[in-house]
Amino acid sequence: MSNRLSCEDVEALLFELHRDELSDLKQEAVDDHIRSCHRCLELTTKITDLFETASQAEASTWADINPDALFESIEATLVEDSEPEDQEANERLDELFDTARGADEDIWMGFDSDALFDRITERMSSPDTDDINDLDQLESSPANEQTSGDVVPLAANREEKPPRRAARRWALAVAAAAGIAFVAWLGLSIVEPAGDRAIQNPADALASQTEDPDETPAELQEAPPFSLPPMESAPSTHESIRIFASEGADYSLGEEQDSVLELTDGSVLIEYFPEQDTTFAVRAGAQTITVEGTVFSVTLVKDSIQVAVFEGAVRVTAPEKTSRKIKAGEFFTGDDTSPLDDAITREVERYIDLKTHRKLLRQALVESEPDEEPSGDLQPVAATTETSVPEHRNVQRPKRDSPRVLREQALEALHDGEPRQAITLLSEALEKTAPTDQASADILLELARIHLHSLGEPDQAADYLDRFITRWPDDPAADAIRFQLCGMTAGKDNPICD
Amino acid sequence: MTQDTKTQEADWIKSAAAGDVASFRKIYDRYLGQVTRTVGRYIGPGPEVEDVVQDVFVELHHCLDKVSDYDTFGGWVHRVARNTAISHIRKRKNSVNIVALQTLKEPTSLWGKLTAREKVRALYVAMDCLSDDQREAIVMYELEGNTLQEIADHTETSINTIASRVRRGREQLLKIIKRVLATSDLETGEKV
Repeated sequence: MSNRLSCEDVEALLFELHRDELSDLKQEAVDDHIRSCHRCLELTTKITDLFETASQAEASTWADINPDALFESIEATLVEDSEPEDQEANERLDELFDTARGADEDIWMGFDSDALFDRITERMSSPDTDDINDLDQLESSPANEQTSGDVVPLAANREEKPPRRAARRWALAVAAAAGIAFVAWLGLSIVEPAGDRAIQNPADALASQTEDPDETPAELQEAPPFSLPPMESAPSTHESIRIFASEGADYSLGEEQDSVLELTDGSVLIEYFPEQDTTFAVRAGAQTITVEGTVFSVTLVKDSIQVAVFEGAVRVTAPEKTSRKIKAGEFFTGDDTSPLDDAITREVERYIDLKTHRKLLRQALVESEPDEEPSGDLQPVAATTETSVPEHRNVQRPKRDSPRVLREQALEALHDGEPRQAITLLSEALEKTAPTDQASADILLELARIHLHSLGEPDQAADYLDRFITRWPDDPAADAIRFQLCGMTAGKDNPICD
Repeated sequence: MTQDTKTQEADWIKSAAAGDVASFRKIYDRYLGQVTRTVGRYIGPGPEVEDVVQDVFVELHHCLDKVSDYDTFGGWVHRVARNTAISHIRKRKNSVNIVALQTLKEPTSLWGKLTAREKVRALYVAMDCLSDDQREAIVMYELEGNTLQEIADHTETSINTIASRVRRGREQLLKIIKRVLATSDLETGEKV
């Protein structure tokens, strides 16, 4: 076999290759490719060599240091630091710190505490308060309608405010439960109220230039074909959010922890690594897109929204309507859901390496503290509107028999020389994993590997490899696995090998 | 490290903290290589390394009297070195050495004959094109072999942010190296 992987596939695996993290099958596929691809051979050689050299470099590689001369310099610096005047200053400073530490409250309080409390309560009840955290509450609270300056009980003002900690717990639960991340592509088309001009998805805008501007409402509401316009990297105020925007896209993204991206025109492609203490939502017109899963796209034309989900799930919430959950592999428009076109996923991958994204997120999930992880299944999430904070949710510990735990136990069993036990545990994990979950692909390969190498059962291994190729035909390792599978089942009637 | 060695080191630390230069010299001799490697991994090869190594030992000397767990002294030295190096990176201005980057263009047949310093110099020219956060994450993950969780704990950042930095750092490095390999002459060393 030669050149079964593309150069892009190999590049995506380069760093895993360097860290020796590739499965045997993927390693074999990469080896096969670079044996016949000079360009990838050069790139692979140099990158792996660069990092190995750097990680193993001796001290002399980094600098020509004369230890004695350097020590003299250090000594000289230390002597300078201990000049008498410095010592005196340090002693004085220590004395001041001691005084401060031992000071009672009278030293700090040069003011009338009762008057201060009155000012505090006055500010808390005033709509002119500077307390940003209470602004939303004040705007919606009946207390706000009272004459400014009237003192109202603090508790009444605070009662309805959702606890911030609850929001954080919710964010954590959702993020972890959903596989922690999502990549979103938003293609919005909004009709300007006065102009009757349909601002369509930029990819369709050119084609529609010759169309009659006085289209009927029914035609306007018909969803345009789904496509991804050319994107360019755009600035983001959040480290965890990467944005690509189409030409002319107009959006804003605040710097708050619980952030909302307001898109008013054009299209954006978003990659998001959810933070433990933050939430992120996208608001487009009257719609709010809340994240439950990993990869999705949305198009809005007037009141009609289109959502394509590549991994995980999202929830789209419109005012006065029930929210709708869209799962991986689904394309939602109007009230219908249909299978997602693979071409769109490939378009997204022009901008974002989904495999690397997925791998790092999975790794992040595995390395997270156990008591910060919910069970492996998606938890239902309450419909949210605008930026409202969902209700408190308890973060659950992983179930003892969750797929992840079962896989860890299988690994232990394998290390303990019990491949049969490992097979049992992995089979159980496979049953509990959604077929569309990338984890199921890994489990299938693990099962095949154990049957083949630990138990010497090629027929059983072939079954799992067959299932892998059928379910994940576009995986970078699929060609190599197909090759191996056909070799193992030579002489048997297998349509995959035709 | 044997128990005797640890005991000996604890004595050196106590004496050095009390002002004994000879004891501090012993600590210096024992950890100079480790500190230089740690600093070098973050900063890259060059004369700056010596300056930062000096800062590390001065900092260590100032804090010796605060050492209470002598068994983990080595780990503490590593953390001081890492923090000092990262602090240095954040203060300095990046400049990209185009000539060093050209080393990447050496044909595969000659690549193996390059010295380790020539190779790491080329790597760190590419690393200079990363943001400080990405660089820190790449060094800790790819070169020091830390897990994402360990890096997240150390930097007090969420694990997903670290994963994001690693991924973006990898993408950037790959992009730079591919660009160098693809061009006959490197026109610019500006940030990619």
